[in-house]
Amino acid sequence: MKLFRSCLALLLAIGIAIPSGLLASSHREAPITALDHKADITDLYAFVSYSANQAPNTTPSKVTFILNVDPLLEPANGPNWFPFDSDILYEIHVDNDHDALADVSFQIRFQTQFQIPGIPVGLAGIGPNGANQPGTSNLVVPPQIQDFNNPGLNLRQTYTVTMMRHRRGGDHDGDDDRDDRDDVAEAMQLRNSDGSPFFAVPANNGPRTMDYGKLFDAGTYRLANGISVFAGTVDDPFYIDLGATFDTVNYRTLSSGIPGVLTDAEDAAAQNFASDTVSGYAVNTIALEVPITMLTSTGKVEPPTSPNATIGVWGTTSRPRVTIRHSPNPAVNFGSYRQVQRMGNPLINELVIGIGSKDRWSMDKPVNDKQFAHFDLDPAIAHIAEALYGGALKIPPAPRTDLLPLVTYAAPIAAKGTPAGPIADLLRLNTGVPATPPDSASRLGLIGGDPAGYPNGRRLMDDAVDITLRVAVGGVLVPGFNQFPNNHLGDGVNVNDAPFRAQFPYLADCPSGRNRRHIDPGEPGGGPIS
Amino acid sequence: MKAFHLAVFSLFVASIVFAQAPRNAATPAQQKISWAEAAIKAHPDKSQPYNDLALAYVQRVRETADASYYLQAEATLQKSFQITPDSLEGQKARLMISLGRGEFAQALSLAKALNKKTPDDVLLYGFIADAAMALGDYREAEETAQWMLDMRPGNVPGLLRGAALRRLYGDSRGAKDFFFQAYQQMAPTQTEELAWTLTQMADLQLSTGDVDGAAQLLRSALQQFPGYYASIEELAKVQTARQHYSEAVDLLRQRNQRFPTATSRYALAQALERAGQSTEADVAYRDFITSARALIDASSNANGELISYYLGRGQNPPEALRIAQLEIARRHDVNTLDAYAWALCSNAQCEEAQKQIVTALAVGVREATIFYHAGVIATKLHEDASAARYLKQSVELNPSCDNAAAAREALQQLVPGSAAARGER
Repeated sequence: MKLFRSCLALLLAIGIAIPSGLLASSHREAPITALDHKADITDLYAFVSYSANQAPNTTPSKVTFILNVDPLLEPANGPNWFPFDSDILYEIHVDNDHDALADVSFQIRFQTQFQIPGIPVGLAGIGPNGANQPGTSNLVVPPQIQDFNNPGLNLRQTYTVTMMRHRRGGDHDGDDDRDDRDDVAEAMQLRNSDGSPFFAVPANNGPRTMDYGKLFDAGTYRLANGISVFAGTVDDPFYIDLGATFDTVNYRTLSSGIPGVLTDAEDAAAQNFASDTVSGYAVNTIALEVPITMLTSTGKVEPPTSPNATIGVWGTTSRPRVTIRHSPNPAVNFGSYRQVQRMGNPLINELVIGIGSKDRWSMDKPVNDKQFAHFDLDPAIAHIAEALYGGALKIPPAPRTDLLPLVTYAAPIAAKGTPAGPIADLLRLNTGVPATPPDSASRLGLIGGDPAGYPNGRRLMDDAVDITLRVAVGGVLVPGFNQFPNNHLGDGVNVNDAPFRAQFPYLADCPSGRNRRHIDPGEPGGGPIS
Repeated sequence: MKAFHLAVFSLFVASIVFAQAPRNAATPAQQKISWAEAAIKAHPDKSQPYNDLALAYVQRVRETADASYYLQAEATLQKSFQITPDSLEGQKARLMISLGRGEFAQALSLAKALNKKTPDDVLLYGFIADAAMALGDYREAEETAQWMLDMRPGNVPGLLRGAALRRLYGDSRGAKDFFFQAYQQMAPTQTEELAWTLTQMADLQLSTGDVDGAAQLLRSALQQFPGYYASIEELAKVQTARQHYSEAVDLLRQRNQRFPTATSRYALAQALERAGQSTEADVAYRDFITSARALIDASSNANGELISYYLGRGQNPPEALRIAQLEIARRHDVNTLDAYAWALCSNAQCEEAQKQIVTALAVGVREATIFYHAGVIATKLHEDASAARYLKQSVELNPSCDNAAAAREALQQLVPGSAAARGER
């Protein structure tokens, strides 16, 4: 008894030795994910699916979700390239009844195989027949990789996708959430009709080794129930002058003469005036296209005016956890995970949440976001920008209720009569709003007059940086603030370096490792250094 | 299997101990004090060096048991707060002083407030867990310790809190595993932390009757941090378990040469009594009573020992119950519940006693003394089956425990002649 007590006081000094958190940057926004690249979510997208010849006002039928992880992958970086982590549980969650709890979740798990363990690289191939040891028929280098059964795809990954419906009416296992296995009402593993596995598309290390395009097409699975799935290494669709952003918002001075402010012409152009730091880099992606009838609470495609049309989406990565208490019931204890990262809206953790709260934010559930409301409704980035512009940029005062549509179900995304729900960082999408034909879509989304763009969901083409600068910093949704320079803030990067596809999974090819190009400041297409 | 694990661990510990370069005379805390004092000289206008010095003083308390360092730490913090009133590191040092003084409710409140402001500071969760464990709120302690392990898997402070909780939940194997992982990660230069961890592991071994294993770990601890009072106190327990009472007396005399506590005085008095040195034991008990009674109302007290004394040699059950009631008003940890239950039982309030001890056991704790108390309480309530079960658990868990002989005797009286009554499997 004595030691039991005295040990408690003694315990204290042990803590002094703990290392302090490391500062994060860019795609690695929180300390915890800065240390765990594989589990780091870079971006989440959710939008009404469209086609190349999309007609205006077509009634929506499907939604595409894209969860990107593992940032800034240099496609030349062999010999292992970038397999998904088979220890990570990747998930996309959907709230369809406005309580910030998951009603539908998709769980994605990866498995790794080595086809030729003796070969020192994960990807190898040449020509239609490969290369033999001279004078023999011993195959040394496999043929060019054109399908998933080619042995040159030495490090091969398969994956499973499980669609789960959660019980309604709150928490059922007493752990204050409704998005884990104990609250599952129905779980369905998605399958190809012939029972074959889903293969992940590898990084594109170069044209000798593989026909990446063929693999990309073969790795796009369209299932009998209307769902499509894709996973693999692709071009990172995010575009940003990352270097300038994290040099304390040191944006480049373009034609307006004011750093970080675009002219009308620059704003309207589908080209870049500054360096897209992410250009030439790849990212690991998981994409799903799901019929809207499987997502809404009513099981129907709802019109945009319906309160049931708007869903909230977030992605998570989790790893197995070591628990203090051993459960006497293995069925309960099994499958315990610790959430490493989550994402709803872009740039929230990077630019809004304080450095001392980023890990807690990453690991917590959106339904508990009230604790971070002071960050959401008085974003520090706005004050930083205001200070940096020395009074030339006026920002709205806190509390920034104009930002509520990002963290509650509110107009102009959600229809009148939609319950606001708790403050929660979800990417909200009105599934009833028709997709805008690609040719007439605006990179500025809603504030550019395009009702199908961010923050009503998020498409690959949406310029999250400029929209965030104008909405969160410039406050253009607040009367009196939609004026110059607030409504011309921008980093000068307007488009992605690679063109997107016009059908699922919409993503661009992974840059070739052999020939990739990172467009730097001062070179063609990279804008000025100053 | 258990013996194999211990042997492997002992080899591991020995290899670390002998692999170390000769140490400086200064302890880790003394070194930190020197560095912090130099930093203050160089930067008297910065708050962080003062915080560092305060933390080093807190660590020095742990190295020496000299609580006067808390006063120096507080004075240093005042200077820090004059420069930066809300300094997080300064507040954390203040929190550690509060915890060290046993001001658990106050510490819990401050820790939660700081945690709300900076939820990514892993150690703040540890402080919440410490205070909650001391107050008996194990659910909160577990939740926060689990957060530590989730945020930074394998972090030392998280593993140590996890080990303490696993022990409380009766998972001694799991507790050993966490202690082992924590030990492996500590820097070889943090000699006192290493010795402290080994001492905790030894106590765990001892609680399961592995006396030799405990002794081995304590020898390593004392090699790591020679003269460490915590290890010497624990080694005296080992000698008591071996019924080597004179050796226990020698160790506790050595321990009490510098900064004796009421608790260590009680241990010496008990050892002297067991060694048959009754005159010296009388003196030692008087010393203990004087020092412990002066602390009855203090947050950091020896009320557990006082209750034990009045229920035994002191023969004053009403006074024991009075003190137990004071203590139970402050906290509901398993030890306080057990002490309260035992005091109630000795004052013929066995039904209430049973409620309290059942609450303690419901946590999952597996300590021979608590099982013995539960067995005696059940016996007095004529619940023979429960009594036999508890007493058997006590004897099986730790055959060398203080109460083992009494537990065997009580068992035999319940079912005379039976194997169960002799505590045999």
